Amino acid sequence: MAPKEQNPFSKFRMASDSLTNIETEKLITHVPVGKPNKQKFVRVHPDQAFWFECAILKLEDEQRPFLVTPEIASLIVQDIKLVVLRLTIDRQGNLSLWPIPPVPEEGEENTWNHSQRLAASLAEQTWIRLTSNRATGSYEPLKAKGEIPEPVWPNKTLEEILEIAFGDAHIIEDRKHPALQKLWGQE
Amino acid sequence: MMYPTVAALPFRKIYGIDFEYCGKDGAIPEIVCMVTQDLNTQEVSRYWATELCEMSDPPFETGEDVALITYFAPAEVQSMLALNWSIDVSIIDLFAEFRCYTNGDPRVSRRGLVHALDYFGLTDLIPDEKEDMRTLILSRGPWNKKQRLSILDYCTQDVTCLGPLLSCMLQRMPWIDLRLNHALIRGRYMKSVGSMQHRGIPIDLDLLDKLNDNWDAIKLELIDSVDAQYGVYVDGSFKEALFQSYLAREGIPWPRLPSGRLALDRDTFSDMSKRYPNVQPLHELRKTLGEFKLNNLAVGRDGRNRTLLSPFSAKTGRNQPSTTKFVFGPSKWVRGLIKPTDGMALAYCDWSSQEIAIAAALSGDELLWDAYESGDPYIAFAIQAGLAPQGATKETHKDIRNRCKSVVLGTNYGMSAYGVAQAAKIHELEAKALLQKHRETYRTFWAWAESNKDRGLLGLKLETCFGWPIQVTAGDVKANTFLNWPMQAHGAEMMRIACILAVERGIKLCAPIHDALLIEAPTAEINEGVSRLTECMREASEAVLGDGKVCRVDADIVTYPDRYMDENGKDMWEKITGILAKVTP
Repeated sequence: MAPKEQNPFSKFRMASDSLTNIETEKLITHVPVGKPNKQKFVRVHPDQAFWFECAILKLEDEQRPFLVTPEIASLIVQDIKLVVLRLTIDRQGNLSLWPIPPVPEEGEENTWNHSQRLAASLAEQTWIRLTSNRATGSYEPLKAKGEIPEPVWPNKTLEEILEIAFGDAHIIEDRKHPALQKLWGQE
Repeated sequence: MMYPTVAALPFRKIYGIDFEYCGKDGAIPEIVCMVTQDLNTQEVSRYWATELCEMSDPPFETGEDVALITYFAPAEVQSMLALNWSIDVSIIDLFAEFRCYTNGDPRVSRRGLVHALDYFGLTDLIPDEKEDMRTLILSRGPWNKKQRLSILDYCTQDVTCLGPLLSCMLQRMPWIDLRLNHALIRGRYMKSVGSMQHRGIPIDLDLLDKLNDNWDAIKLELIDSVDAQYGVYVDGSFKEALFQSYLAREGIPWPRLPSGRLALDRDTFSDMSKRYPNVQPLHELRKTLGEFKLNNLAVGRDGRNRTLLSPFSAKTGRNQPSTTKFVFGPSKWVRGLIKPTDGMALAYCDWSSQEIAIAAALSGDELLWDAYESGDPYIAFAIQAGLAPQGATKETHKDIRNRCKSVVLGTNYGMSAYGVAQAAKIHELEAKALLQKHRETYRTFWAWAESNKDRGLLGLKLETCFGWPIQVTAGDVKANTFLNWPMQAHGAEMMRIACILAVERGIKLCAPIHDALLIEAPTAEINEGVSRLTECMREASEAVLGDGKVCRVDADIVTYPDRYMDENGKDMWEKITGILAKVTP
């Protein structure tokens, strides 16, 4: 069989470079810290490199919590919360840090906290959204039906994400931090 | 190879050329005169119509290695065909090239020769007395000796500026072989446009004349017939207050203007008729009464619709023929006037889902190409996105297919969730979810599309694979323009190559209509004609898509005495011809 003749126009065809050689990258400028919205499906990064055990301080009238160093945390034990921050992503690729209470070292486990850990663990494998059930005193993960593609995680380290989430203003490293002044009534 | 000057261009002979002609809309042009200039020797030759009509061959050399430099070549080609001359020459059309230099520049809105000369700083070559001379030529004579000389001088001015204009283009950035070949492909397309404008589209002239003669009576009857279910016309005039009462009766929430009055523009009617099909006949009636004037159709007394196809007019490089003169322009029922002559047949061939094929092939999204190749990209998307099970078909999953169709078609235009919801008649939240599925399923396509958008918004040049560009460096820009531009512009390239191949292979091409071509042939040969045209269209698609990828082609054949009919215009056509039968004795 004779070889197929080359299309006579092919030799004048340009590679469509002009249509492809611009790349843009979505800049992440805001990473909220908090429980996932009850109407958003989310996934949790399964890699332990994206777990961060820490203390956070939440002040009333302040939307963003503060990240507290261990030394300062020991000064305000009553006001801080010990959490594990877990990197979370929604269907639109938006990141957040989900503060999940750790397993208590002693005492009785709170069912709300326990259910959050279970939900986060489930979200490592599947898309869920978090609802609360007052009757059982726990959060209930709703699993998405149907095939939803795996999330595409941004190429960022945990340190970079923490930097975006808390910035300089929301990390408490010394006693002179305005948040402590406010907490101690020294404003 | 680089071509920095006109003399360096690789042609045995190179001529500037221009014809002056006159004649009625729709008729074959009546030649008045022709002027040529040998761009190597600068020698100018001037010919009056009487001399030209006696020539069986053009008074210049022909062949592929001879180039004619024109400004809007279809007119010259049509003139040469009117003289029964060979058109076996290469063409570099400076109108098409000027469009390449300026497409997307909001500061260049006018595209005539005068404006091109001005743009390149050749102001001393701008011909004067343009309007007076046009009027004199269009008067169709007879012209006295002095007037003839003036016309020839005027034509000469339009020719002697072509060399300097081409020279300026080459000086701006010397053409390389590829750039020259792209210009020559555009020139070949201009030749095929001239050929199509010469051939025209067969029209049922008797019926058109009858409709024209009785149009006033038909309009009144048409209003009575359609308005019976609405009651919104009084003495042939649309009454907003009555329409408001109709909407209240039917419970239709109609969009309003900031002033509080009802929005009665064509787009609102079009959108609302999709949502409320009961409004559709009223929309059609308003279109027919308001926008359509039968006697604007450019139909010659030989029953052919001939008008400027206006190649390279749109930013995408697509044709933009007049919406009133071209038979495919006005309301769809008017297409019923297209009718093959005795013993002849017409075929309307179009690429199937052309934009999806282009999006898939150029973005390199294999999943999207698989969807296209499956033959039903809409159900394929539903399956790929997990919205329908494997093995689902148009028949088994009609509803989800329709929803997916709106999404697949809409995404090429950057349609919003609201737009998809309107088109698919679904809730906006569902539309949002479907759009999200599309983005997740065809990630490679979306990365490519977003990159094109960014490139355009950055004021950089986007270019098709055969060199049709767009660059917007000033003025307001809509991001969605750049999202859709690559599909439309490559669709235009595909159509151009198919026209070139068809005309050069002797197929009787009547007109291009967006992503379709209309041909005619004797009834006994129409099937063969369709096969040959299909081959041209497949080759054209392969040339654009690359990698051996081919776009499917569908064909509809109409044989005398049947007429062409658009499905969406059928009801109105039957209504109007029914009324015509009633009002004519």
